[in-house]
Amino acid sequence: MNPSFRHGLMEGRRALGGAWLATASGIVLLGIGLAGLMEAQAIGGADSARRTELRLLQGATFGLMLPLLTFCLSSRVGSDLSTLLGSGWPRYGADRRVFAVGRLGFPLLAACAIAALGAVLALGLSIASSDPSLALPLGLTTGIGAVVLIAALGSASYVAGFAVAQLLGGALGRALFLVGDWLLGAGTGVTALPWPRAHLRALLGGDAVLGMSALQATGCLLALTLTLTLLYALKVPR
Amino acid sequence: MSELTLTAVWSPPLKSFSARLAVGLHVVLGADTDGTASLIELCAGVRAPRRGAVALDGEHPSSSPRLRRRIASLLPIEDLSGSGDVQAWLEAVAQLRGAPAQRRLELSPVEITLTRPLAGLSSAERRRLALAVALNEPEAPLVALHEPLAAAGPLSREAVLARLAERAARAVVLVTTASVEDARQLGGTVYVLERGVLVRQHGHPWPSALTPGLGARLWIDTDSPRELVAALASSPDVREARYVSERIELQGDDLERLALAVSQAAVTAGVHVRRLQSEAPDLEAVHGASAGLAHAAYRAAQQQRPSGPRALPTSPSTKSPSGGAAP
Repeated sequence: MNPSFRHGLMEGRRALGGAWLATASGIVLLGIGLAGLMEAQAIGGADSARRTELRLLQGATFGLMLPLLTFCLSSRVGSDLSTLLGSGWPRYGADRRVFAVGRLGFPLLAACAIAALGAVLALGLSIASSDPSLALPLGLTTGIGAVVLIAALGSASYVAGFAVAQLLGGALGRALFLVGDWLLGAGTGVTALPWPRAHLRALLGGDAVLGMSALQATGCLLALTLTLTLLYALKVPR
Repeated sequence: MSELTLTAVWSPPLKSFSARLAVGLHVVLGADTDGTASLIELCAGVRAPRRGAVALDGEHPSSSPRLRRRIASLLPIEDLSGSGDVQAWLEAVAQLRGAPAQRRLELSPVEITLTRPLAGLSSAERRRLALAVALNEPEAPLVALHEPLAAAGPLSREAVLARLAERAARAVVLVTTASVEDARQLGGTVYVLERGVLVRQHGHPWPSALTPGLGARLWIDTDSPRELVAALASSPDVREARYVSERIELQGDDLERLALAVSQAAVTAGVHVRRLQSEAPDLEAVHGASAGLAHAAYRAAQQQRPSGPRALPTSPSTKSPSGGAAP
């Protein structure tokens, strides 16, 4: 592994801290659990069970918890220019761009793991609280792979998005990205195109942006993540 | 030969800071709030100037990993990254710099055990470790150090001075300090930095340069103070001689001439001088001298004007009957 990337990865882990991560995981899972319990009370027939599952995944896990978690992760790790310039390893010769991308690696992995756990919990709760004969769109066996993939894509796009927003506009930029994602990402028009929320919703069976298929939404999310990461790397001086 | 160029650098508190530093020892005298800390951070590449440019042989430290790899630096606060022990950190630094991994701390005694966890080091120990790493870099074209003598501790102070003198022969060595005493020990060209602006530059850090007009002060320990004072009384370079707490306190205009007068008087009176100690002015005195020089220059410029100096209102009593300031 490239030493600059490795040092960035370790620095990200150090900045995040184990206790913080455990607390964040606990809060996220508790939030999803509580949402699952509340939603379970509303399950009546097959339609309501399907709606409950979608609400838990689209709303609670990927719509609320994932953006908030990555927002807090980004705030904790700090990817503003002064932090990156003052980092210890680039001072001794590490490539700051590679280091900065590596620094995002650990928050990304952490967000992905927590989001996947949350999604599996949401899936399990919705299946456990509904009639087994209802056959929900995302079954436990077929759904786990899909939600883990969606969690990875969603985490990557949010982490990259918040990193760019913080680099360009500091804490305000990060907050604006969160608000923009909530407001503009809720639509299905052109304005929803650059926001992860819109594509995640489409992947979870919701309304698609510009009528895109699931594959196109996945491609869009990938392209968005890569573009944001590239922009982030280019904005950091070497 | 390397050259460090700072062109109209704006990076708070530095204000349009410009300098060209060639190979040799350069000492910038000033407090952190005057911009000395920022200056070292800029040179080490851990800070980018808001405006202007910092370049070493045309390359910018903040955007060139290749250059940063070769710069030896000691920052005001050393937040050394890493979670292992000191040895693991040293090996990681050596790997990044492309130096042999077996390179060890030669600057003894640094008093830091290699097996100690990095997180357990105090801030003073971290600075000492960073200083050792900086001084161990044999081919650094730029050595930028903030308060190296304070970081070294009393034991390795002499070793640091020797290593800096050695490096200054083939690299740009930039040292910032708030201590006139340290600047005097370091030698080299002295610059006075005040509120982000270089106000003065001198070839030496002696009182005649740093605090002109304030004079110099010497303390002498001798077995025969009466005879020595009698011999010094006739010297024109001695302005005042006093016997205080079993020591002779001498005041004069120039430290070198004062010391010469003491040695001449000691020879004349046949007195053995046990100790000769000078008193370094503090930074406030140096800044005060800068203000005095600036004021004197202003007055001189005013007097050279054809219309003569313009009177300024000095106190309420000089007001004219109409209530305005006196002309």
